[in-house]
Amino acid sequence: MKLNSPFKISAVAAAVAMVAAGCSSAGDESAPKAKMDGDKVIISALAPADPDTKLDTNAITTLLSDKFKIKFQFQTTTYDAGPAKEKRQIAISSGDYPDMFLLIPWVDAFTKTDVQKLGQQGVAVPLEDLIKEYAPNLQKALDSNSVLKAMSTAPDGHIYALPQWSDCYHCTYPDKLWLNSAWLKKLNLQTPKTTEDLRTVLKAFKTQDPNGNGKADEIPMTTDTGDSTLIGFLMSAFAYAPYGANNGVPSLLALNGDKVVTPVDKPEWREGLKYISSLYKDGLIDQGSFTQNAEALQAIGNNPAAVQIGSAPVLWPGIFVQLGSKDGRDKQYDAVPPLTGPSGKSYTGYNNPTSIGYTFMLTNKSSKEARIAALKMLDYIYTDEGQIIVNGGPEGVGWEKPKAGDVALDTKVQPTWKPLPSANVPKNISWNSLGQYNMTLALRNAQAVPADIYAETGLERRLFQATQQYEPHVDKAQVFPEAAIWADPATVSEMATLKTNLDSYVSQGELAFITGTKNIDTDWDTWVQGLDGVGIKRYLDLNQQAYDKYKTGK
Amino acid sequence: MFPQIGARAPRRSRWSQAQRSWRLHWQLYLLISVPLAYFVIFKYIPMSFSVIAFKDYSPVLGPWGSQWVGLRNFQLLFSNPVFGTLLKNTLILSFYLLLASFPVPLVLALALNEIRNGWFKRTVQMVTYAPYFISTVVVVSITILVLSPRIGIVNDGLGQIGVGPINFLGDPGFFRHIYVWTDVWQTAGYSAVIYLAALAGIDPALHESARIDGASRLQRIRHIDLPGIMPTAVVMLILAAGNMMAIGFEKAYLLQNNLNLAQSEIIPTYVYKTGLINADFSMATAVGLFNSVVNLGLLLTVNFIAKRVTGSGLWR
Amino acid sequence: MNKVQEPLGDRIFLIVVKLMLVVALVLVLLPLIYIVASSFSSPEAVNAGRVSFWPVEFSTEAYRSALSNSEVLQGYYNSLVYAIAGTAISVTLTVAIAYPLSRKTFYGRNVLMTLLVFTMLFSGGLIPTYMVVHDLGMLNTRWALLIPNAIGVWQVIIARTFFANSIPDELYEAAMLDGASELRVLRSVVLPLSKPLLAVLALMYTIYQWNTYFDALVYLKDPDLYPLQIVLRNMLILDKSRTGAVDLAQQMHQLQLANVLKYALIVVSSLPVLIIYPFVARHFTKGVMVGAVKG
Repeated sequence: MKLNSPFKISAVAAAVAMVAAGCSSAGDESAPKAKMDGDKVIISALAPADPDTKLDTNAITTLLSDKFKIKFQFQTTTYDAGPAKEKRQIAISSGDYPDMFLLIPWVDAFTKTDVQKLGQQGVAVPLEDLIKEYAPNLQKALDSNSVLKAMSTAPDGHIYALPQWSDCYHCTYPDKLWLNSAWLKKLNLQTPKTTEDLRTVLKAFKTQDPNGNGKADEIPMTTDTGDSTLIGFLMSAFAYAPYGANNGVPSLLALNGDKVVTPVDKPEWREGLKYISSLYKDGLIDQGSFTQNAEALQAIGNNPAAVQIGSAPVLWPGIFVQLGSKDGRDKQYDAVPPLTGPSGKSYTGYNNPTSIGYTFMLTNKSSKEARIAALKMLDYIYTDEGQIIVNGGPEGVGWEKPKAGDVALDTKVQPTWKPLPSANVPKNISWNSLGQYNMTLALRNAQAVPADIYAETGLERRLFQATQQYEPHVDKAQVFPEAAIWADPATVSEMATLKTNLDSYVSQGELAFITGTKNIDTDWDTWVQGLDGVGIKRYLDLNQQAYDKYKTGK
Repeated sequence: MFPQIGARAPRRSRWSQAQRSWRLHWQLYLLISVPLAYFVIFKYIPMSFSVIAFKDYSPVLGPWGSQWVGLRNFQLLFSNPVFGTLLKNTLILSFYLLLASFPVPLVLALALNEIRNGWFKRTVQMVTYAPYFISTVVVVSITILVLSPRIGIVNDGLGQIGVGPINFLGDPGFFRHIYVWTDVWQTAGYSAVIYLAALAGIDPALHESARIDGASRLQRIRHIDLPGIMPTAVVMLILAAGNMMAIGFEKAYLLQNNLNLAQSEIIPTYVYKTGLINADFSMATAVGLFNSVVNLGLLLTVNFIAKRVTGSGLWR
Repeated sequence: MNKVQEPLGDRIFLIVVKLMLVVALVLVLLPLIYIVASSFSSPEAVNAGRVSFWPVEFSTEAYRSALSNSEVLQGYYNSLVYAIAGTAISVTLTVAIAYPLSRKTFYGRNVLMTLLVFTMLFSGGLIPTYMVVHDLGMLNTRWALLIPNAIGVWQVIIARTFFANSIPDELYEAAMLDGASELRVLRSVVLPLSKPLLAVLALMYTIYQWNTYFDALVYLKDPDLYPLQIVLRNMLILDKSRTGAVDLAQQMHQLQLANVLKYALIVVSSLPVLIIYPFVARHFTKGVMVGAVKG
């Protein structure tokens, strides 16, 4: 490898220079010289795009390009998560990366580990000074939203990347149960309020033939593996059940004062599992709930022969039944407010912010001019006007001003915008998810939505109203603020291993207790001891350290 | 490294052997130089980057400039409490897959070879090879639908004879069978193509004279067809063994649920889950190297046994 | 071959073989029929799990949706280019390396073989390969799909085994006596005898190129160069961001359409490769050896 040695030295030197650059202000001389195209500064960017979106000719690209004098050079990935992630990582690890990353959180985004690593290595450029100088609206958002600020600021005090902030009221309280109201009425039952009420209702569904076809084909409760909120909903009557940031993998962490704890080895959790297990044993929870996928669940929910589903613990009804169905069965399902357990407890899961990935990053390849132009552009997206236009398209094309009589999602406020039904919206007129940076609750709730909650177009309102029944049950003091917490880089990979092992141990164990392969009375203590063996203590310790640092930093 | 390599002759004669071979085959050496260059450029140069398994890789410093960490990544891997279970699950699944997917295409090819060319043969060939083009995602989603305890046709059928319903996907005991046999379904026809070609290479004169001697079809399969395709079969077996740890992650991941996790969690799915949170190239490379070493061991073992039993192996 | 002359035992054996094949055929065919039937059914019917082996509420919406996309046609064209050029390059290179390695008097064959097999087990992985492709200036060109994975070691081993077992040594001796050069022996004696092999290699490489997906995503930036598989897979992925917005219902229909599209796309994308199979299989004819050895 003789040939390599001069190269090696220069690489090290360059790296040192870059790290140094990372520590000082981003606007200094170490930034490359600006590449210009006429009066526009050239910015290369990596971004995902779906088949309908051609970023080069997109209406919003043109708008932003003219407004901020930017000539974009897009490299795109598809919406396919795995390859998009791979492409981003290859670009970075081979040194072949663009000036700017503009990602979509649910396709692929930077993790905290990525952000910290890239910041230290000098790939990501610190943004805080630029924000202060050129992005007043973004600065305002950071100042007014402490979670956003904590999320964005790395432990060394720099902002290397920004997440998308998109408030979604109904997703914030995701542990819902959708119950067949038509069946309740037919059997003369009330909406269940306690865990035993629910048992009575489910038993009646199973035995009293509410769909009236003479067959005992009713399924009192079912769900699928990817969307299940079963444990979350039922457990909430016994203990606070953390929801977690990853869909399908609940978090194991909660707060007791300032102490990081896990609820899953506590006696209340055991009682909850006992209750769920008893429902399962009585045949009130469908066997397939823990194995079937969304397709299989849909097939049951839409079975043309008969309405079969009595209740389904999932985020929203469209997961198990087709909205706008011919026989209107989708209108039969209403959300059940959180139940009260035998000891009077009643909680609900909490999931906010809904996306925790980092999507906006400027690299050390960008010129000073490019950095400024990019931040000015981002700042525009942080305004309400910019947010609606970049995310939804120009006025009159993607949305319009509300007319008299239009009602906002939150009926207490005046509507300020009205999205047009997407069937009428032409393609390639907006950046969609690419530009969803500051969709605040206020802005989202001020959109005009039709009043009929059971109409397909009124769905958002239906979910909004349902969620209002859940919100009062949340106990935010117990919520571990996962999104805002930065782990020590040295322990990151240990944490990842611990988390994977614990998640799998807990989810396997819980299902074993529920389905009866493990006996909750005799096997519980052994199982809890086993939890220590998989490292729960160490996991809690590490998270406690990170939490303490977050607390003092605040 | 490999016991089979090189002649055991003294050095001098090795040199003269090379010289003679060059004089005889110089055109072939020229011919082979192009593909060899390909292997150097696209395989061996990238391979040298595996060094990052022993380093803390930083893209800015590059593979050679990054910090050495010695065997840290391997220690982390082996000290993981679940490592034993993962390795066991991976090996059992791979062995089972090998045992099932090796003979089926062979039998299929032999059977196809027996019947005359005609629409039936062509149809069977075409149809059995078609599943190869169906993506894993679709295969898994059909599998889940078909085996569903509530709406699946398998449980409908079992219900008719008074059995069930069986929750196939919820029972860890079924996971491996489902994985392996859907795989056989998908690849048997495609793999049979190679055996069909090998069978086509057998001299028909052998069959002719055997028939005159009164050998039955079964006897001819045993004494002509099987020995004829044995070298190909052995090669296929050895290669499959050498690829065992390279078992795909996608299908196991898609068939996984929390009820069958005890058997369905294998090294690739586990690495995917931890890697998702933590993009650690050095660790990923270390796992890759470990897999390769196991594969190498398996390949050499199977090759050794094959040479003992059948007289043919990868190297002759 | 006259049936009447076959002994009873053989005829029974043949019937058993055919029965076996019929069973295999049915087992493989049923899911395939399900896929085709689903692809011609309405999205709602597929979603309700009502389709089994015959289209329900016959609809060609999925096909229309797939084929009305101009990118699909461009993808078809690109895939065709990759398949033809890639197969030609791959087969040539594979023969160029496998044939010398099959000759027993070729010095160094075992060492080289070991080095080849070694690359099957130990690979540098995606990132280092990407760096090499990048340094060669192949990024975002068609070459990136044709060259970096041009030779499969598996295929080399198959080819080498075929040459070693199917070409008798006497043939080489005879050719040498005639004074033919090595390359001429390969071209005019060995290759004509290796049609089954060439057919298999061509088939395997064509299928590889046709199904290739990941390389294209990693190496190509320009959508005009995308092969069919990328275009098709792209169509199945939906904008999930709308799960919090007004358009859930619209999303719902798209979701169902994607469900049917999934099946239609299998048919659309695998048909061309299925069609070439019988033409390739024709070359697996017996009797190639007879003339050469005797003549």
